[in-house]
Amino acid sequence: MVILNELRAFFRDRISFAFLIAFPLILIYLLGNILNSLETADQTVGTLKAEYVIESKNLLLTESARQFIDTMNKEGESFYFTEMETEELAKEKIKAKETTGIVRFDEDRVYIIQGEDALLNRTLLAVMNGFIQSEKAIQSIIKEDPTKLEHITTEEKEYVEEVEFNKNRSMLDYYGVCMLLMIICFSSIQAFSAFGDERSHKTINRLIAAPINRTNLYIQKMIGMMPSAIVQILVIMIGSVVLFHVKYASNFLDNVLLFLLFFMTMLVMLSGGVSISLFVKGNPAIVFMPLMWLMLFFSGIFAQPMVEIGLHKYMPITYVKNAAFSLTIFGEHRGAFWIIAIEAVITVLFTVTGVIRFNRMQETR
Amino acid sequence: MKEFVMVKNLTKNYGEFTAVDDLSFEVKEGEVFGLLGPNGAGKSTTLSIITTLLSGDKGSVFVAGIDVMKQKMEAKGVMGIVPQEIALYPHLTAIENVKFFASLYGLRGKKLNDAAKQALDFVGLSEHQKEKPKKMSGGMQRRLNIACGIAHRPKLLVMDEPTVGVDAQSREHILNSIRTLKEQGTTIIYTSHYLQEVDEICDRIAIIDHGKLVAVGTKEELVSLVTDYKSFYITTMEKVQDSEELRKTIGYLPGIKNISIKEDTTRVDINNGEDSLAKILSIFMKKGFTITNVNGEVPNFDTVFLALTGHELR
Repeated sequence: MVILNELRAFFRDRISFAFLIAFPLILIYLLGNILNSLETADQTVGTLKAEYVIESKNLLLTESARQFIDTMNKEGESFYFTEMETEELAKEKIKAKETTGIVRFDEDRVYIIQGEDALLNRTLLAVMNGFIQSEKAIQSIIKEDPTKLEHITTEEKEYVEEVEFNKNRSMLDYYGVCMLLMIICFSSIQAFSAFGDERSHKTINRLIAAPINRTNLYIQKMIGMMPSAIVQILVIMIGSVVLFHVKYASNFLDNVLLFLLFFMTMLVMLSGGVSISLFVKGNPAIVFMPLMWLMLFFSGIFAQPMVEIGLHKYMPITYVKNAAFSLTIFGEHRGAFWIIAIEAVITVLFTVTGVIRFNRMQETR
Repeated sequence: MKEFVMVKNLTKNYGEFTAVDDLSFEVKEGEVFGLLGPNGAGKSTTLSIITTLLSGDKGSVFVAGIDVMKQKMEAKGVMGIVPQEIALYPHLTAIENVKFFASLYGLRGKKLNDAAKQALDFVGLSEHQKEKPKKMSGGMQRRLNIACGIAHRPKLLVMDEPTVGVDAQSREHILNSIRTLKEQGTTIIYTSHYLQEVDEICDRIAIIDHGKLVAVGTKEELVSLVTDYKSFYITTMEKVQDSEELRKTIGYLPGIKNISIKEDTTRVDINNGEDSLAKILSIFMKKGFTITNVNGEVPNFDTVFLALTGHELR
């Protein structure tokens, strides 16, 4: 009945239900998408359309430029270079926002006239920089020993796309893990209220006056909070995958281990919260929640740049976060196992402390 | 009736402050025992020790022959508590609240369901069993508070001011419930600030002040501790002439303390234990007066409390 009561308390409280389940899902979506568009400049370039004008009389440069552009136009679906007769005509296209920029081959120099899109400008710059570097290399070979050019094969080189390497991550994936950790930390609110609510509802005295073993009662309260903890983690993990295509670990077993890591972290928060609530007469959340926010903030949970301040290594949650990322990105298990083991020990210590305290507890007025 | 609760030399200190000071009393099986005292007198602390919520520093408490200090679990099993504050879970319905608390006393399955329904029926909340406490009136919440304490059928019910802040209708319902519980054989320890309530339902009363027992007994016994006479008001149809002869005739009767005559009403104070009223009435009738009313006045409980403790019930 105590377990059932805890479950009812969680699932019938619409505010905590919304705060602990719906809110993190919304955060993953909002933060993931907003920051994705800001920080994935090198990932989603899209199509680059550029105009080029050849004004150079240097035959070598002219020829290699034409060949480079032809290859780019043939090879890629992402690059379209169109030759224009004059630079003025090309500039009209920039004004009309019909092109990314202009490349002008002038004597032995390459000029780039940029358009308005910073991301595409940077990409065009990178592409032409690659051209210039290879051009320099060829020039150098010609100067040293032109016969070497005869041995260059013209066969097409292929590349392998490493789709499974799993490093192709977006901010949604980052916030998937981070928001889960955030909500796990906030689950201590639920734990703080485990006995806090009993006190405020005045039911605590009825509990301790009943002929029921207090250790048993304490454990039942803890167990009663676990299903809601499991539901929270699963709903957020599965929900973020289904709704926003968040990527966690690359295989099922690693995802199970990730779930265990999150679950054990939540158990630490729950056992700690319940135990603390027995020592503090008021609501411990008033003191602990700001501290929790600071810990999350400096560990880079909300914003990765906070890591640069250098306080993250003093934040316990950083180690959980790093273990989770090692598991999800690189498939490394060692960190997760260590964290789970340490968290199990902490949970036991918190629980024993809480049980001793609860057994000594007298009437609360 | 044998003693069901025995409190012997109970003492509880909070640092320098002594909340309960060498307190001793007994509660007989099946009686409603009132614990009366001003705020801070030590009533709630005494109840808390009896119900195992607090540990006493000295002395002993036995409930149904069980040493409350040493065999807490066994003692808890025979008791039910109705706390002063409403102690209910807001997220549970009325019946879920009752079932939850009854389940702590080992009731399961059909027994639990039946016990919860009976308890709700007993306090008149059967029709509200699916309502949550916040949708109930203060009086209904008080009644639900009682249902949670009685569903497991305790042999001893400890009620700490169960009628605080309730409307007259709910109060009457609660008092009737207590009378019924008494009829069913439940021993009840009851505290209240309302002297009239204590007067109405308690068989015996203990008055506590500054942690000490001031007096214990039936209401009559307590009254007799502070007053040694009763006043009677004899009303006649005719005006009574205040005469020396009448005063002397009545004054010669045994136990007469004082006589005062005012028009049609004569007040006579008679010592306790003396039965002179019938003779007085006979004298009035012989003298041709038509008696229309006779009222006896026992000093009220406020007077008793004031006399015993030196202050009013605060």
